[in-house]
Amino acid sequence: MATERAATTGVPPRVASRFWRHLDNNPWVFVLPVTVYLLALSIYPLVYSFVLSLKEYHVDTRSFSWVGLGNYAAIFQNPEFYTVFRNTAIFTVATVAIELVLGMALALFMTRRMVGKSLLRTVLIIPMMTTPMVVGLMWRFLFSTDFGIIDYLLRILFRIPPVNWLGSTPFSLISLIITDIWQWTPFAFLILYAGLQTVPDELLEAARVDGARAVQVFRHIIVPLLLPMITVVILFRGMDSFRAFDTVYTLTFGGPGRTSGTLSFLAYLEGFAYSHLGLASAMSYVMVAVIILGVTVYRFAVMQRIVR
Amino acid sequence: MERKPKAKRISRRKFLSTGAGVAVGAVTGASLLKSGAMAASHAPVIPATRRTPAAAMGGLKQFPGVTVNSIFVSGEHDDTLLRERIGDVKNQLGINLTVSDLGAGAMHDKIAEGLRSGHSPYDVSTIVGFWLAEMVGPGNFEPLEPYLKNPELTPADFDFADFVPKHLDYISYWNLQEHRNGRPGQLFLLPGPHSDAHMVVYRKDLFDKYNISAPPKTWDEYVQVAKKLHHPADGIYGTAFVAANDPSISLSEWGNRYVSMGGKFYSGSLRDKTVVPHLDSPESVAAIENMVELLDYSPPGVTSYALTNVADAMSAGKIGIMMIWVTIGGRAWAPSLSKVADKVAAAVPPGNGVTIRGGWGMGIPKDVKNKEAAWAVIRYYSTKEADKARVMNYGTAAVRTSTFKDPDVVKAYPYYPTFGKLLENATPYPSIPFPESWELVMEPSKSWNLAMAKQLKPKEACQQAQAAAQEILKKGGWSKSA
Repeated sequence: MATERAATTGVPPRVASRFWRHLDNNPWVFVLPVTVYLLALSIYPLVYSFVLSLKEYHVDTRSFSWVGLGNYAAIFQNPEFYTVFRNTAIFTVATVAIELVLGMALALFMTRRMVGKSLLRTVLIIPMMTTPMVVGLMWRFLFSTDFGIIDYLLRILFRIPPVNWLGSTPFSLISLIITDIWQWTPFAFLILYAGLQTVPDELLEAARVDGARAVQVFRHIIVPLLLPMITVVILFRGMDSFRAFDTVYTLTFGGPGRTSGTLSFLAYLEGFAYSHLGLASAMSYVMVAVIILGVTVYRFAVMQRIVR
Repeated sequence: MERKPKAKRISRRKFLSTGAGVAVGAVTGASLLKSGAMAASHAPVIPATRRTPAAAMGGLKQFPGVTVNSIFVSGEHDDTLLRERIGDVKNQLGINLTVSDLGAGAMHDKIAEGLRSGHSPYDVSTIVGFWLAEMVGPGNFEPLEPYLKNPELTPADFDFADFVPKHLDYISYWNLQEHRNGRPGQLFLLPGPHSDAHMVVYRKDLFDKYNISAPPKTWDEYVQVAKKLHHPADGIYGTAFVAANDPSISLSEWGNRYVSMGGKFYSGSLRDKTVVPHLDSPESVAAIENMVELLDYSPPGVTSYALTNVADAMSAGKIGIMMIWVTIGGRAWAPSLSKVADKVAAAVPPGNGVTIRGGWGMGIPKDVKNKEAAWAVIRYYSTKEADKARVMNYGTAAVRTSTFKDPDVVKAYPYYPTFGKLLENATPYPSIPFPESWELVMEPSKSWNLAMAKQLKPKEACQQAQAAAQEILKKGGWSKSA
C-alpha cells in the first residue's frame, strides 16, 4: 500500500505514516462531513422541533412546559384548522393542475420554429426567478381596486365593475391562485420542455405517416413518454403549493378572516405572532404527515402504472 | 497570386448575444456610476434648522466605528427623519446607523423572535403599548435611568421632564412586579417617535358644498355625514376606514367606537385571575354595526384597506371624512404629502370624547452589545428639535409638551391644541396588561373583517371574537372560572 501511494503521490514510502494508512482503511472518514452536516442541519432540528411540538411556551416567563400530545389535540379541535386545510387543498389542486396544463401548452408551443425563441424562453422563466415576497407585493398593486390595472382593464374591455380581489371571498383565494400560477408555470414549462426534447422524432414522424392526428399523437405518444416529467412537476409543485406562505402573507394576510389562509400561514401566526411555539411545531408535523400521505397515495396510484 | 484570407465572419447569434451583453454591461455600469455620483451629490444636506446643535453633542461620548441597527414601523414616518440624518449621526456620534422599517405585524414577529432567542437583530427597538407586557414585561429590555443620568451619555439640557407625562406613563414605564405600565415603575423605553390618539379629519370644502354645518357628534351622525359626502361619480367617496384583516381594525376602528360608546373590554381581577372579556356586549355589536353601515359609503376595495390606505385616500382627495390616528392623519396637512392640505380640518371623534391612546417608545434589548451607542441614537432622536422636526415635516404626533405649545407647530397644524386635549383624555387599548395582548388584538380583527366582508352578521362576529378572547385568556391563566 505504501509503495502504491509512493507511486501515485511521489511521496517516499517512509513518509506514509500510520495515520494516513488508517485513513485509507476507514471509509467513515469520507462519510464524516456529510454526516455532520445532516446531523447538525437536518436530524437535530427535526428532533428538536418534534420535542418542541410536545411542549408549550410561556411568553411571560420565557419557559416551556410539557403538554404531550395536547398541541396535536388542539389542532384537530380548532375549527379554523379545517378551514385553512380546505383552502390549502383547493389552492394546491388548482395551482398544480393549471400550472401543469399551461406548462405543457407552453412547452409544446416552444417546440415550434420561431424567431426570438431563445429570448422568449428567457422571458418566460423570469417570474420563477422573482422573490415570492416581491411577487406578492407586485400583485397587490395589480389587484388593487383603487389603482390596479386588472380592474381597470376589466372595466375598459368588458365593462365589469371593480372586483374586490383581496378583500372578498372567493376572490381572495382566486387572486392567490392566479399569482402562484403566474410565478410557477415556468417551472412546469421548463421540466416539460426538457422532457419534450427527449421524445424521439422518429416516433412522431411514424405516427404522422400512419395518419395520426395531433391530439392522438399527444395522447398516445407524448403524454406516456412524458409521464416521469409530469410526475416530477406534480410532486414538486404539489409540495411547494401545499406549503404556500409568502404570497398569502403579502397579498391577503389570510383574509377575509381566514378564508384565504393556508396551513403554513396559520403555523406562522401561531409560532411567530402568538409565540405558541409548540403548537406551530405540531402543525408543521401535521403538514409533513399530510405530504407523506399524499406522496404515498400518488406513488401507489400513479407511479406504479408508469412502471408497468 | 496570393489569395487574401477571408475575413472571419461573426454569426448572427453571436453578434446578437455579444451586443446584448455589451448593452447590459454598459447600462449597468452607467447606472452604478450615476447612483454613486448621485449618492455623493445627494448626501443628506441637513438644513440649519434641522441640525442638532453641535453644542448639544459637545462633551458626550463618541462611538467611532460602532454600528447601531434600528427598527421602526413603516407607513407612519417614524423612520423618515432619522433616515435623513444617518450622515449627521455619523458626524456627531461616530455611529454607523442603519434604519429599517417594517409593517407592524412583521416588526412584532421579528422583535419577538429576537428576544426569545436572545439574539435581537436591532439595538434600538421601537415598541408599541400593547406589546409591553409581552416584550418588556419578562425583563427583556435594559432599564434606561442609568443612561439618562450619565452626563457622558445625556446632555444637561435633554429636559426629560418635557415629555408628555401621560405618554410617559403609557409607554415608557413598566412595573415588573405588578405587571403593568405607568409609574411607579422602571424606565424602559424613551418616548418617540410619536405619541397618539385619534381624531376625525374632514374636508371643509366638501362640508360647505354639501351643507354640512358641523362635524358629527355621534356615530349615527358620522354615517349620515359620510352618506352626504358620498359622490363616487365625482370621484369622492364618503369615507374610508380600516376594514382589512389587520390589527388596526381592532385598535382604531372597533376600539374607538367601543370605548366612545362606553364599552368595557373586560371585567374581573387580573391579580385574582378572574378576567372576563366583553366583546359580545351591546356596545361591541353597535360598534361593528356602525362600521358595516359605512361600507356603503366607502371605496369598493375598503375591505382590504389598512391605515395608510385610508390616510392616502384622504391625502389624494378621494374621501370626505375619516377617523384615524393623529400621527397618520397629520400628513393630510403636509403640503408635500397631501393634495388637500389647505382643505382639511380636524374634530374630536364622536361619542364621549374618549379615544384610544397610542404611540411608540424606543428601547434597548438586554442582549445587544452596543447598549451605550444605542442609547446615544435614542437620545439623539428624542430631543426637542427632533420632535419638532418630525411634526413640522411629516405631521407626526409630538411627544414633548414644548412641541405642543410651539407657535410654528400650531400654525402649521391648527388641530394641535385639540390633539393635546385628546391625548390628555385618551385611554390605552385594554389588552395592554396581558402578554397575550397581540393575540387579543389579532384574533378579534379576523372576526371584524369577516363582518366587513358580510360573511358574518355583526352579532355573530362579536360572539366569535368573544369566544376567541375567552380561549386566549383561559389558556393564559387569566380566567380561572372559564
